[in-house]
Amino acid sequence: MSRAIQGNGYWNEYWETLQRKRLEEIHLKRIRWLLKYAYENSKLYHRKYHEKGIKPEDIRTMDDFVRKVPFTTKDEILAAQSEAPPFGGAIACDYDDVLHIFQTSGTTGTPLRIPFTYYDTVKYGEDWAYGFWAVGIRPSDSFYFAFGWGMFTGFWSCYWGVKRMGGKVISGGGASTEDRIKHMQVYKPTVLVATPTYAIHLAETAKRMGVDPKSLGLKYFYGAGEPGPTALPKLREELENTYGIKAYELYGLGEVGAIAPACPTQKGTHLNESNYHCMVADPENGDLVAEGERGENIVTSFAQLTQPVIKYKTKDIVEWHYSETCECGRTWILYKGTVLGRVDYVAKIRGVNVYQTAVENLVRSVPGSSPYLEMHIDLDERSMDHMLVRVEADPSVPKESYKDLEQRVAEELRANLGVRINVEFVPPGSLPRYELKAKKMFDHRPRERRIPMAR
Amino acid sequence: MSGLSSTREELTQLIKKARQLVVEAIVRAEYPALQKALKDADTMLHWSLWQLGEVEDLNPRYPSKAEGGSST
Repeated sequence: MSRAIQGNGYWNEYWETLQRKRLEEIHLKRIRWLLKYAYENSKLYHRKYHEKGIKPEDIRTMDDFVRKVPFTTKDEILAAQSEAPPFGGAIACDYDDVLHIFQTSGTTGTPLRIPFTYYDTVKYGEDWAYGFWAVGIRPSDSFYFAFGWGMFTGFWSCYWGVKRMGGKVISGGGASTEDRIKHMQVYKPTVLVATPTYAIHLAETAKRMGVDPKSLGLKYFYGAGEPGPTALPKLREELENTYGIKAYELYGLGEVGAIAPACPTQKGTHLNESNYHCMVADPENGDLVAEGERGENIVTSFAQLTQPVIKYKTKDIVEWHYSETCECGRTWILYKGTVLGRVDYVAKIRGVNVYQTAVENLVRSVPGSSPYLEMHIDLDERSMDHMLVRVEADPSVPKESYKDLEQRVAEELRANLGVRINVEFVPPGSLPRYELKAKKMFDHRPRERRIPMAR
Repeated sequence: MSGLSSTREELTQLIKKARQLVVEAIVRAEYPALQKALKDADTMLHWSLWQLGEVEDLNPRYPSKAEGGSST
């Protein structure tokens, strides 16, 4: 078989190096198929497009798709589900064909229900396999899942990915953090699958148990669920130095897919353009932003056909690049730094958009800060946005030094972002630990004061 | 066209031929166990074509359970 088909550092060299023109041709074909499928099978999309006076056959070009087809929001899917629970008009296949059902935590309201057929789980899993292969993980590797399974999509899709590529699965479901360390001592997995902050917590627990995290024999960290090693260089450094590993991340959304597997350069993640199409829009007005600019990621999935997502507003802030081939050889869109923040949690302080990852990187650049922090956005006495960052001090820092540290971090933020952000240092162990997504952003502003598209 | 393209074309045709055989077997299979195994096989063949950028329909289409078929 030829090298092009067999792959060499690529899981599928054909797709990963396909030229933009050909990618766009295939995307258009798939979009047209998807629009017809959704119009015919999903009450949500039929009604939505009917109300706009759009028929699938009207969409003949990518420009038609961009201009004529409306965005889809999570609230629309939730409303369609609520009409006839569990899935109502959002589902596009026979309910009997659904294989696996998930739901979001519902921390910001009603949980979103997420159904998949068997084939959808295959495609979803494949997203992970692309990233595994790109960074050097192979079927001879073994994966430790520091994950509680349950109703949250989370790392279930990673499990499907391991099944796609091959590899050993070691499940840490239902185990305590201490027991997970013991599992890893016995089974010597080579890949740790966890959220980044939980991986840090695991390492701290290991040290408390007298176990050097390096002795666990891990070779890779492959995480997801929150800003990780490509968005936060200090976090990457900490993970890599603590465990003696290489740290990578994947960008995914439970209701859409594991859309962007890791780039081996650790600059960000690449959109899997075999399964997804994206455009990036200004969250304020919905206008598309140019390459290299930041905006809200708008995703269409060719892989999630059970509950289709077409021009779906992810609320994730990304910076996209596509016209130059990445150093790794991939032509797929690069999300530089992966997810930089959430539309919901952008604070506009004196006209400057302040993103979660920018703040986190700057805080972590000051020695004496720990990875545990919270960002609170609120209105000040003049009704202007302001932010308070609460940071856990490193255990080595005496309490008398907190004031000095607060000033140094505030100055670092002011010098780099050009805005004043209040900083408060708190003792080690003061902030909660999370096994899944760490909650770092807290928005106390009234709903009407948030960015319009995030409301 | 290069030899590479020819290899891709041959491979695509081979997979399409395999799908035809599997679909024919699905129609003849009487037991649910056999039907399901063959549908899984066809799903993987469809996926193989996807991997080559060669699928037109994003889903293989079978009768649903409601229509008297078994789950995909």
